Amino acid sequence: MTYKDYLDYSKLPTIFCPGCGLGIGLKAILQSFSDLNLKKEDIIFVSGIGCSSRIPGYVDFDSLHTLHGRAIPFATGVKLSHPEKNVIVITGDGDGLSIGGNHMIHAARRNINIKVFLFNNMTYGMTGGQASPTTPLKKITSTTPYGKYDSNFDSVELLKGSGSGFIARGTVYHYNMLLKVVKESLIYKGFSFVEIITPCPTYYGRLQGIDDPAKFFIKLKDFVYSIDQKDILKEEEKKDKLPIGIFKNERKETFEEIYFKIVENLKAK
Amino acid sequence: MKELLQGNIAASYGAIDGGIDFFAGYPITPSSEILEMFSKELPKLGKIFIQMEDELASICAVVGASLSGKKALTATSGPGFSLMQEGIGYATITEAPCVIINVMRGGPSTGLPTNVSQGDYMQSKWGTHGDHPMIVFSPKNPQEFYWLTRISFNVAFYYKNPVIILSDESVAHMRAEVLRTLPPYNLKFKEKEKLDLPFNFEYDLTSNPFIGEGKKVRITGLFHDETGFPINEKSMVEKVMNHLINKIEHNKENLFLYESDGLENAEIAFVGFGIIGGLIKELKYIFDSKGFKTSFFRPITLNPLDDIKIINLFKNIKKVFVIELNKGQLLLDIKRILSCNKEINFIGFTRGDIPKIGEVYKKIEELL
Repeated sequence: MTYKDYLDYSKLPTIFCPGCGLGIGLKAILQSFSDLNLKKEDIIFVSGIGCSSRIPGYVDFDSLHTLHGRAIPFATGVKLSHPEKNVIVITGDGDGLSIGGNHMIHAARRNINIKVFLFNNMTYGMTGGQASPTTPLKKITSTTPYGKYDSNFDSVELLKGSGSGFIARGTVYHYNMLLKVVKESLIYKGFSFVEIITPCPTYYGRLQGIDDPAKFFIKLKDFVYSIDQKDILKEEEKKDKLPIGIFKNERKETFEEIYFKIVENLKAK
Repeated sequence: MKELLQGNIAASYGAIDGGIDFFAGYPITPSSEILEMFSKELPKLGKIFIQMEDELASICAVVGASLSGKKALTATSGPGFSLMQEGIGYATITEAPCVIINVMRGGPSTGLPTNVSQGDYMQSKWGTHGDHPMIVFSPKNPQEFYWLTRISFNVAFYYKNPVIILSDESVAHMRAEVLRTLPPYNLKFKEKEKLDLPFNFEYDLTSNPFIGEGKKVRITGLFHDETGFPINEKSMVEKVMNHLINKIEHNKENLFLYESDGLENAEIAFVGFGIIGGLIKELKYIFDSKGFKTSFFRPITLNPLDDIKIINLFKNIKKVFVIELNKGQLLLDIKRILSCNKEINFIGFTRGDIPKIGEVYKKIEELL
């Protein structure tokens, strides 16, 4: 199967704006399914609310488009009902780190075997370009007309603190690297978190004065550096930039493994 | 075999005997015994128990499990029930067959955590935003709490709708004799047509696939077509909304459970729900022994109410006394249904206790 076989063509085109990076991110995820030979009946997408959360509508397998911020608890219910399936959460920076931030850290702590792909466009695209928890300090948005007063989350550091065993970040500009990271996260057993940085030219880009999507994509290249070069690069070369790559890949006993072991022990009694 | 059980424990056994697969919850007084009970019993049965980070997560995990075809339940109380409203609304539009137990305590806000109240009557019916269908049952004692919880999964799956069991602190903490028997309610569950698409809006009740069956089940909280894809075409939106309302509205005769005595031959009726059930029965006994012709009526199903049935039951009644542990919520429904030719009186208590019968008797005597 190719990545195209995982799409429901009867529901296309998508509602995404021209120049949006969500399609590239989706392709990387579907290409990974194809490379790993995942069967459609073994995959379930769960999303919250926002632009990226509309992705599950376009795939050719089970999908659950839920409430704002609540994709992870819904996915928890689905995963524990079908422990053998690949339950995958598609979320965004507002959905997953603001309104759903509490669920994110607890799911990471709990280590349920769900995969989280968080599309970070640094804004609320669906509602008109308001500031999100990942919008950098001093940036202009629809709700920070004088520049953003408060700092942004570094999701990688947040997830480290929450105990996630797999943490990675990629961008839609670095497609091959993203594909590798997504595939690794799918192979990993346990809660995994992948942040995918993607441009929103319609709102975030326009408000920063970058109205050309192509220019915005090129800007992504300068916004990040590879974690492999962390020790080679000088401090000023890393300033105001985010590292990309796999930050943690550490196997731990999952919630399901511990829970079902207890169930087995109780049965034996 | 009769067992002496606390209401919350009786309800937990009701869920276990009804075939519960999945419980997600968060501690809150006065419902925590249910959470603790399942934490102990469900792993033994190979079923899922999970303590979530809050009530928002609890209801969402439960709805996720129920959309995966599992018999899923959560239990909470006032503040937690308020937090769950968004998830309950999602369950109504996605037709998720889940069960929510709300053990009422004094409100608003943190209110009276360890005391009884009936202040969530309206919230249980209309708590989530937008027009929506809802099924609400209310038990008067641990036995009924057991039966209603036991049958709630059948009702939820048959109507593809959330079911709320509106209990209260006193029913939940009262210890009484409970028989773990089949519920005595005459609820009919007919064979439903099996369809391949996740949704149907032509017929009131059908059987549709769940997530995880390999049938490409697409679900959204937006208005959607039969494939579960978001829509905003006006006539289709109306069709979906009509379907959601009608599947309950057209079946309210089958869903409407109540207990009553003497309505046909009396002029006075005492009305109340839940824990007040015992008090109104007692009032009838006392007033009858003093030569009055009285009766009582207790809806067990709080939503949907069968208005026509209630009008017919009350046709000889001239005076109604509605007694509640709130400022008059069932009263609003009784006034709406019966007020055209009857005198309707209200006696409410919001102190956090159940009044002694003598106090209620005196208030009624003054109004007679």
